[in-house]
Amino acid sequence: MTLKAMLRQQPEVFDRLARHWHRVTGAEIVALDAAGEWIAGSGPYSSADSGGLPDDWHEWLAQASFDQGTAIFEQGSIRVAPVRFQDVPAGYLVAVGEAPPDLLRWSAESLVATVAAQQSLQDVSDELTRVKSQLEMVSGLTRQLGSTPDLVSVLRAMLAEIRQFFGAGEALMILEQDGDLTHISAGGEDRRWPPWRQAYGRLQTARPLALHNDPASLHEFWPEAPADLTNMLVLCLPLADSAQAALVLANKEAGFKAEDGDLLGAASGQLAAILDAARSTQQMLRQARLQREYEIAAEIQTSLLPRGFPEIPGVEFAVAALPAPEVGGDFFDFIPLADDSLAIVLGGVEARGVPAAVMTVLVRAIVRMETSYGHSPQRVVARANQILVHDLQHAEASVTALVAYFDPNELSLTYASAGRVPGLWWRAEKATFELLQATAPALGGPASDPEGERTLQLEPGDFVILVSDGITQAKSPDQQVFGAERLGRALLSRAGGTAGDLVQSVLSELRAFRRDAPWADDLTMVVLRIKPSVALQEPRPEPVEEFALPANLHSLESISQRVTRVCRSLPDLPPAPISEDFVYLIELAVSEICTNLIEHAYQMAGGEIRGSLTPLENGIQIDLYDDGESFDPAAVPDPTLAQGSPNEGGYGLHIVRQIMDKVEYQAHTPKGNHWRLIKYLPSADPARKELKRHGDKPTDR
Amino acid sequence: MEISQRIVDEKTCVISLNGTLNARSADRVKEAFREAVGKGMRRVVLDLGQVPFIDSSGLAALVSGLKTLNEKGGSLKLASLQSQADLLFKLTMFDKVFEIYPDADQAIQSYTP
Repeated sequence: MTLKAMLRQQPEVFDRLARHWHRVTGAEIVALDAAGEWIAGSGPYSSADSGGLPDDWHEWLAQASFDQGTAIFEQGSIRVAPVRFQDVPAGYLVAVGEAPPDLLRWSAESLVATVAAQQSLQDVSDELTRVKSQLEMVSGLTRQLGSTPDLVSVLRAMLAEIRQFFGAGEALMILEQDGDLTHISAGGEDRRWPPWRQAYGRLQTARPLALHNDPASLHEFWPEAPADLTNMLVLCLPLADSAQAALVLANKEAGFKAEDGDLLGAASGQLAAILDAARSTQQMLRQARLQREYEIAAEIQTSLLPRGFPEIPGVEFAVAALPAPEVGGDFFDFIPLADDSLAIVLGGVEARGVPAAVMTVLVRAIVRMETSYGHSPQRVVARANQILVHDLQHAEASVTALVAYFDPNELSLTYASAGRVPGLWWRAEKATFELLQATAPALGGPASDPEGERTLQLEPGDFVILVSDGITQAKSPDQQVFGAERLGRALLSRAGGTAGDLVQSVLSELRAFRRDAPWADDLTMVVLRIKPSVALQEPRPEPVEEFALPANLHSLESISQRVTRVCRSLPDLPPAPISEDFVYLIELAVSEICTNLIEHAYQMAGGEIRGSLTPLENGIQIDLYDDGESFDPAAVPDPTLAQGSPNEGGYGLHIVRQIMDKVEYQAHTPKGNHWRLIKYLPSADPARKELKRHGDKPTDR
Repeated sequence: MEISQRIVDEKTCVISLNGTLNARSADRVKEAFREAVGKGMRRVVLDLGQVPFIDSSGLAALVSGLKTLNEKGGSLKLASLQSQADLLFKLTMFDKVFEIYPDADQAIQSYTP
């Protein structure tokens, strides 16, 4: 991050520094960006056009040498300390007036430390806010759907109508559906009705209609009936899908007449129809609500799946993530770590539907946060357990999670696994599988053992496959379980295949095994494969030249010099003049991109261009990073070159795409917006016609 | 970037560049064209013999010069392209836009019928 970006985000940090500075030294302080442009200042330097700094400021700054990184450059009463952020020049802090150099150096360092600390705090709280607002969305929508009128209030209104119509003192409805009894009463609200289940059984025998006008016969029919019931009319209503209802009218002052019974009996068909309609509406609403909840939860889960695979030379990844028809509880994640390592996370929440989805979001966020602190896998798992133990015990949910750190330089995989996440390690040399063991109980249990992590030393040709329970527990129509052994067998026949082959062979074995058995669970698997030694004998390409330069046009020449120097030292460079064209084309492409960065990404307002030059086995790779505005390369049209009236600009990117074999752009990577350019040596690809010196334009690739 | 000018007659001159022609030097080259036109020059030969590197910003400056001269009924011709610059002109098909001569003298001769 540049100093300018830091101070734009947190201007108060500089203000505070300037205040203290003035109080302690009586002098003023100015912040400049890496190109020497004013960012902020105190006292007379508090605006960009304030004078006081030498006129030849830029040249003077360019000559200043900061080899030691923290050295102070002095001229007259001006002292300059470079500000570095993660070892990259971010700008300068300038003291005007008498001030101890050590204090200035210390100020520059603490400025960066303060900003960095607040930034990482901000990152964590951003992640939490994101998770929280997603959860709020789910519960908000669910609440809204839940506010539709329910069956009970429909029935209560119906019952009140009937009671009034018949002039009964009290009315009661007993509804049995799916084994549950519901009672709704109207009139005599304070009454405690006797146990319903017994009463209901007896009332059922009254089908379809019973009329009791004296208390003695009434209590003979229904012994638990309240003592003050004097008369009663009972109607049983058979409903659709074997649900049943009984309607009881009681305590009519004048007693029930036979006509009352006839009337109620005649209306029974209509009453049953109304009840059925109300019930099915209710059911539809419930179903719609569930469906919507599933959709929302599935959306959340999909939105959290990692986009794209990590790219590590010599290593392959393949993933299959097939969510269950409803919402499953599987989750997986790739998290790049600070030291080139990669965290691979796979787990599952035991509890299906919406609560599981919410829990996966939570676990995933916690694991992301904990890895960002640089904790070991075991500690990440232990911390996740500490955070979740209370909620999990409440929710009666169980969570398994495997957290593995892959170090691509050592080819080592260190993992901790809470609960058993099925995993196999194929050791190519021994041609055997090893099972990955759980190192701790599932999350929500007792704290895990601090020693509980394992490191696998992978070799070329090895692979590790992690799968969710849904795969090992998959059942065939005759109730056989797929199991880890069958998984191993499926992999064995393709053990030399690519990561993608391995995933496919498991999926096809699983299809054959399950035949038409209903598909109930999430299926998730992640394969990490070390390519066989052919590829690995090649050392991983390392950059031979790295630079961080101010984003101004003065830097173009310096960048060009570096590019030509590295290009000319490529081992398999063909003889001149082919080599000279090759070098020129690369210099041209880099110049085009850098000019674009300076003029468009940074709008000529300074900033920084970082880059690295990496010789490949058969060519060169150039990586360029900036912190300016990002853009959409696809939105840049190729210029049309109408004869006689050519445009004055817009050729840059077009030229780059013509020249280079690979042109990739990715906005907002952790290192900034990223351009990657690759060009292969003319001799390396005999099938490809090198640009003819006096020919036509090359084919666009 | 060094820019020098040799006057051939009251309407003809040779502008010679020495150095890299990129975004940094492009504005000064454009300015040189405007100055020449301001002094009444209508036949301008641009000698690129000492320009080892041109990029698209440099090309844009040449297009700007071409337009400046065309507006006044004049013309711009290029001379002594180095081999890499030649490559760029082919790549961008600017070799169809500009008249290009092996050296400045031949470019000047092309003005005399």
